[in-house]
Amino acid sequence: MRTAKENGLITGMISLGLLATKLELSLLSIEENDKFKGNAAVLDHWAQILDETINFVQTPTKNDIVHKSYQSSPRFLARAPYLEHLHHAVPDADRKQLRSITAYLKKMRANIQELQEGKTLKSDKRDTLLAFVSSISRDCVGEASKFQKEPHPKWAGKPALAGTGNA
Amino acid sequence: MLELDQIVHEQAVAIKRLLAQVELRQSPSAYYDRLLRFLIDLCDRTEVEIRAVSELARRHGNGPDGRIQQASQQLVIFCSHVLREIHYYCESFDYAEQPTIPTAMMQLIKKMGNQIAHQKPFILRGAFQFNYMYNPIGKYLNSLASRISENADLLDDAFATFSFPMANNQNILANCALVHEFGHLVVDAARLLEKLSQDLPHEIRTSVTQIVDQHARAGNQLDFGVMQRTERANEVLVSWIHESLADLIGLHLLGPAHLFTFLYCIQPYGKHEADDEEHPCDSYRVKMMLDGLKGLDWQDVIRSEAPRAWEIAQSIRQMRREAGEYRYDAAAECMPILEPYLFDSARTICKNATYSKGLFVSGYQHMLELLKRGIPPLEVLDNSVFRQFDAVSILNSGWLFYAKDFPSWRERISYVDSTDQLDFLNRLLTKAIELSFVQEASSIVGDGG
Repeated sequence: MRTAKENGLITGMISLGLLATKLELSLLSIEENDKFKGNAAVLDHWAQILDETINFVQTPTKNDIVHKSYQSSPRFLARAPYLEHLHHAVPDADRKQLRSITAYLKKMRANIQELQEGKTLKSDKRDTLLAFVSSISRDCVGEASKFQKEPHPKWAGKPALAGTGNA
Repeated sequence: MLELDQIVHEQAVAIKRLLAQVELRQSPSAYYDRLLRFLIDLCDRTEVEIRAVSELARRHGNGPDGRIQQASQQLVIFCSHVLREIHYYCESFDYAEQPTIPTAMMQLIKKMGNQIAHQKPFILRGAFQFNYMYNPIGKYLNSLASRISENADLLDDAFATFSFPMANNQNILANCALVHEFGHLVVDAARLLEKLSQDLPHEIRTSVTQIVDQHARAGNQLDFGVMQRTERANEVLVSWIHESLADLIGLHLLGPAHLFTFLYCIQPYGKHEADDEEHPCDSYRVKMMLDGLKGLDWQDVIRSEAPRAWEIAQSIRQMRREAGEYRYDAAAECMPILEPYLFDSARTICKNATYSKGLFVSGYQHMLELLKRGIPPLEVLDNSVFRQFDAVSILNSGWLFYAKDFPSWRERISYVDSTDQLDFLNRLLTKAIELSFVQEASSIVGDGG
């Protein structure tokens, strides 16, 4: 048996990973000067996640029980290592500055906004967004694999997916 | 890519086979069928997703740097994770409601569910592990489903399973721990954390924030940044609040039985446990329960009816703040500040279902007399003069039996060698089963006495 917290964490990781990979694939399939053809719901999800995260990062003193019901939100549980990842993703000099993470997230939010409005993203913006979502997706694969329980041999159609966590 | 694709498909087939077998068991719970339909649907949509991404990878080839293939592979991995999660829960349902708990206990939990959780669905699940657990799987599965397709929200978010040790399924006293797990469901279903956050006065909110910040800043700088430490401290605090609310709800619904069950569960280990990320330490929980019972005017009853249990609870309460007990200082410091609000919250949610002292006094003397006559159980089964008792009376006699017997079994377990311990535990379990026979006999006979 996994604990409730582990269950929340793994579900959060899988959900976030699915979402990141879907956006990644959609962005990769955009041709030059082409419009986004992916699922609009995926963009809406990302807009929501980024809004919440920006709010979270900007107001660290409000992160108590008063404002968030963390445990009941798998998305939040998924965000803990995600924020950690972001913290390391910014350049060394800015690492201690929360503002740099906020600026980075806001840039991503603006890119999503453009896609939502049906605009064509310039290639540099597209690449930045792509790097962002693919790094999240990679992190999530690793994190989700850590907690995965092997199926019971009685029911498994095939032996466990050995090594997929490192793919 | 092809190999992964194939493995995921084979997993999906295995899961569907499993789902079909689980479905054949025809569980009596109506919600169970709904859950199965949801899982089958989720399984189908996962397969569709895999086919779609395989097609995309074929159309676009490897791309300039193989990134499409890499991303496709990752998506397949995530889908395989989703399938494995479904698999994981299917395994759980394999045991659901098989050797179940006594009917009266089930009815009691269902009644409480109707009264205070507005009929939120749940499934009881026997497990081999000796533990009682709450798994809010509705929330988890909905989260997975919503990322696969945008129109899936078939499950109630508060849908949960409670697991209990199958070896102990007839033990009335131990089964009271299920009411603690039920408390977790109430906290989630009634959104008590959100309500609590709204009702908390500004100054309390500020104090809690300051304490957490202070500890986060003083923490080990080599571990994480201040923000991460604050965030983790908050997570621990929220988990502790969740646990404490579940304890207090259990206390309101069951009265002293909840405390005795807790003592019964922790005593065999011979020590109280330190805190962890999800639970405050045992001594703090006992302290809160004693305070709660005092607030509900139960303390005189416990002191006179179960003096030994009272003494043990007091001694555990005194153990607070011993070396190593508080590993999560920020949460430990915040809890006493939040305590009055937690009590208020539990009182408000349980107001119509609170088990009062009046119910105890009227039920137990008579029940105890019957128990003296009623054990061993075989005689009871043939005896048609027993009256039907309400679940509360049964609980009264269940916990009183243990509370009165507390000194002897506790000391026996501490000093005898391991073979005798097992024998003794076995006898205790048999007694608990006998009690449930009394309950069963009384419910079969009906209102004949």
